[in-house]
Amino acid sequence: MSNLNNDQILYRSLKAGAQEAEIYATKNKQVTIKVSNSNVETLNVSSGGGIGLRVLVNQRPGYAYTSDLREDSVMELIHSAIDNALYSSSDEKWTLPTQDNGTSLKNLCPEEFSAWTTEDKVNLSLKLEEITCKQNRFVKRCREVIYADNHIHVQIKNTNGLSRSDNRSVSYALATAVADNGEDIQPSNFFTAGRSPTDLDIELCASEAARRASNQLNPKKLKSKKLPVIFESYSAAIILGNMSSMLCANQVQNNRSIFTGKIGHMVAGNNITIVDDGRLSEGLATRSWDGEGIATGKQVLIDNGKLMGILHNNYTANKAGVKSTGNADRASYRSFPTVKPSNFYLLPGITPQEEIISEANEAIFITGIHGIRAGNSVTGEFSIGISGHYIKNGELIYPITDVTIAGRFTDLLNNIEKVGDDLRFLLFGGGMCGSPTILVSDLQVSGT
Amino acid sequence: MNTKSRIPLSSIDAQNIIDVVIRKGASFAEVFAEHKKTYNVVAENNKISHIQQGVDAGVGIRAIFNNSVSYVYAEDFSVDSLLKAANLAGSMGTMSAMGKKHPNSNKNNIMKKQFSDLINLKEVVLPQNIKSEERVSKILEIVNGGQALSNSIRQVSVKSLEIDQEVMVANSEGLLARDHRVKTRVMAQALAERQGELQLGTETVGQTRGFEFFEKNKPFEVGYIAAERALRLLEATNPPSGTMPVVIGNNYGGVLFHEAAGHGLEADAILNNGSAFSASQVNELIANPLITMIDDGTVQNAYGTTSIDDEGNPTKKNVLIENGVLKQFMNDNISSRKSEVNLTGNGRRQSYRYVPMPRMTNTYIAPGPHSTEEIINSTKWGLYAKKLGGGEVNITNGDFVFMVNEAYLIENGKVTSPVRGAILRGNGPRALQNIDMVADDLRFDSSNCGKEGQVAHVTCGSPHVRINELVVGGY
Repeated sequence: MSNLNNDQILYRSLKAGAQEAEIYATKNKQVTIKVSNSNVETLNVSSGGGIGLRVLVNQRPGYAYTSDLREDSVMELIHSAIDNALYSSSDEKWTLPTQDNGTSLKNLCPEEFSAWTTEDKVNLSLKLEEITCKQNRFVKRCREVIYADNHIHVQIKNTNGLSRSDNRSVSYALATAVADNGEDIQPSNFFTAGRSPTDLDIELCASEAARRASNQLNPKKLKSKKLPVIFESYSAAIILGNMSSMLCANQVQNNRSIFTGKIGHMVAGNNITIVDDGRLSEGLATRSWDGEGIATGKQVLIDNGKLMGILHNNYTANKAGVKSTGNADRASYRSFPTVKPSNFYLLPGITPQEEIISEANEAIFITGIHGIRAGNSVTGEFSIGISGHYIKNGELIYPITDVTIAGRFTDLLNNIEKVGDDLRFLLFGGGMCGSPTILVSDLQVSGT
Repeated sequence: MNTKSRIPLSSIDAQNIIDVVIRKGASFAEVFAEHKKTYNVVAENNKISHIQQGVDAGVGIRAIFNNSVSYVYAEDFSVDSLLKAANLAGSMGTMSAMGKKHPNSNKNNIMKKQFSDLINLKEVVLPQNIKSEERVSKILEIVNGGQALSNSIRQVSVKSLEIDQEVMVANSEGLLARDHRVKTRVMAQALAERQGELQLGTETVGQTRGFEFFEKNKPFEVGYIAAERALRLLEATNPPSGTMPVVIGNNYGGVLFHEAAGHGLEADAILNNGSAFSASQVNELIANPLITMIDDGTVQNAYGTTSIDDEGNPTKKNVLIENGVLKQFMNDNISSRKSEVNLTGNGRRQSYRYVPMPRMTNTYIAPGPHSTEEIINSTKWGLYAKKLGGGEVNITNGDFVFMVNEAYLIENGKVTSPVRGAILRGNGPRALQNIDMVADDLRFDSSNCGKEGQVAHVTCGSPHVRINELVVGGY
C-alpha cells in the first residue's frame, strides 16, 4: 500500500468534511548514549516520524496523529480528526494561519552535525565520564553520563496555502558527578548543549559537575528566617522558566495568570527587562517557523518593569485581536498546538557575580532548585526546595541542606535589587530559559 | 482475546529478527512490538476545547553484548526495514567500546515459554467502541460536578486519557509473550475565586480499565472533589515552618515512599551505587519495624498493573521491606542477571522507542496496627499533610522535597485550620526510621512516574502514617 503525500491528505480531509486542514509532519533521527564505569550501558540509534492532522469543521477544532503512515491508517486519521471536531466547542476565532513573509534561518543544522559518526559520539561520552572523574579528589565516579542528539525535519502545510519546512539539530551531554569524602555523598550534574557535538564543551561540563558536587559536601541546616537571596544564573533561569507560562496567552486569557489584565502596567522593578526571542542566534529553541508555520520573532514582554505584551499562537492572537507572536508550540506531531516561550530570558545588568556575593552581609546563595512545581500560576505563590551556600560578610561559609524558600512571583519581580552581568541559558520544558545572577531582597527561608 | 492483534508481526518474523542480531555476536536479542491507540479530551474554562486521538506503532530491537546494550527502533512493520534495524542493532557490537562476543551461530528458538493475555478483557469496554459524543458527555459531567458546588467556582478544566495498548515481546531465550492493556485516567482542576483571590483545586483518578471506568468512578464526583479542594484553599492560611511531626494522609501519600524509598530500591540504582540504599543492607533493619513496603504489578485494576512487564515476564507481588527489614530490589532482565537473583517483573519502558529499565508498578506501604484517629489524637502539634502533590528525590543520598496540596494544622490532637503551600523536606532512609505510627486505611492513587526521560504509569499507595520529625516550609 503506497503512502499518501501531504497534499493528498489535505485534499482528502476537505473531501471528508473539513473546512480547513493542516498537516504537521516530522522525520527525525536520534542517538542516545548512556555511559557508566567506562562502559557503554545503552546506545539507542533510531529514526522515525509521523504526522499530526488538525482540522476545522464549523469553527470547531479536531486533532489526530499517527506514526503509522500506511494509507488505511491515514484514512482512519482523517476520519477521527473530523469526528473529534464535531464535539468540541465552536468559536468563530478558530482559523488556520496564512503564509507570512518571514524568512528561513540558516545554520539550524550545521554541516558538522552529520560529520560525527555514532562511534565518535560514543567516544565523546566516554571521554566526558573519564575527565569528570579526574577533576578533584572527591569525585571518583559518575552516576551517569548521557549524550543525546536529535535531527528533525519539520513540514507544515495547510489548506490556506501555507507551506513551510525547517531542518534542525540539537546535541546535548550531561554528566552527574558523585562527590564522596567518606563522610558524605553528594551528586551534582551539569550539561553542555549546542547544534552539533562540535559545539559541546565537555571540559566545562566535567569541571562544573565535579565542582558543584564537591562544594555541596557536608551541608549544614539553617534556622528559619527572612534573608536576602542570591540566585546563581541557572537557578534564576529555572525560576523564570516556571514563571514563563504565565506570560502565555492561553493562561492569561483563561484568567490563570498573575499577569491577567496587567498589560501596560508596571509588574516588575524598573531594572527588569524580559524578552522572548525565537530567532536568537545562539538559542537552541531558535527556529524559522513556529508550530503552525508562522515566522518566529523577538518580543519584549517586560520592558524596564512594564508589561508590554504576552506570547500568542494564531488562535489566542485572533481572540485578542492581535498578530500571532509565532509562539505556537508542538512538543511533537502528537501534540495539539499550544503556546510556549522559545528563548526566554532576563536581560543582564552590569554587576559581576563576585561583587554581588562580596557585598552581601548575610544571605544565601542558591545553586540548585528542587521541586519548583509548587509554583502556583494562579496566585503566583511559590515554595521550593533549594541547595546552595550560606553567605556571611561577603563570603560563602558552608553548604546548606533541608532548606526551602518561599514568596510570590509578583514580589520577586519587584524585589530584584541587583542584576548580574552573567547571562546563562539552560534547556527548559522544550525551550530555553536564560538569566544572569540576581539578588532578591528578603525572602522567607525555612530551615529547622 | 479473540479479536485480531493490531501488531502485524508474526512469531516467525520475530524469530528471524532475533536470529540476525544473535548472528552478529550479541549474547541476547529481543523484539518489542507495540501498537497503542490514545484518546484525549481537553476541557478548558467549562467547555470542550479539543479532542484528539492517535496511533503509536513500532518495533524496538535490543541487542546485549556483555555489559553493553544497543537499541534500534523502527516505525514501519515491513520485514525488510525490521531486518535492516536488526542488522544495525547487531552491528553496533563491533564498536571497540562495546563488548562483543564471538559470532554466534546458535539457533535460538523462541516460544519455549509463553505468557499471554493474563488480564481478563471480557469486562473491558475498549475505547475504540465508544463514540466521541459519549466520551465527551462523561467529561462534561466532570465539569458539571465542579460547577455544582458553589458560585465561587469560576472555571473547571478536565483532561482525560484513554489508552489501548497491545504489546508483543520475543527474545533469544525462548520467550514469546503478548499483553493487551487498557487504561483510563481523568484529571480535573477547579478554579475558585473570592474577592479577587484565586485558588486551584485538583482531583485525579486513573485505573486499568476501559470505558467502564466511568461506571466505577462517578465523573460528577471527580469534578466536585476538585472544587471542594479549591474552596478549602481559599480558607487556608500559611503553613507553620520548622521541624515537626507530620501525619501523611492516604490520599496520594504513597508518593512520598515511591520517591523517597522506591527509586532507591530499583536494582539499576543499587548496581551503579546511585542509591541511598545498598545491596549489603539486604536482611538488615533499614526502617521502623512498622514498615512493610511492597511493589505489586498485579493489583486488580490499579493504574500500574500489567500482566507481563515490557520484557515479557509476568508481573508479581514483591515484598521490598518486611517489618523494617530490607528483603529485595525491583529488577529487570539485565539487573537480575548481574545480581544473580530472580526476576521481579519490573522491566518497563514508555514505548517501543525506549530501552526497558527497572521501574515501580503499584508501590505501597502495607496497613499497620494503628487507626488514623489514634494517630491524630496522639499528635499534640504538627502538620496533617492530607493530600500530597508532586515531589523530587535525590536518590543518591535520599534527600527529598514534596509539595502538599491539602494540609491542616494539628493542635492538641485535633485537625484544625487548613494551610496552603506547605512543602516537606527530608531524607528517605531517615524518614523510614522516623515513622512511628502506621494506620490500617491503605489507599492507591494513580501517577505518572518519570525516570531518565521515560514516563511509566504507576500507583502510589499508603495508609495514614506519622513521621515524627520532618522539615516543613512554605509561603
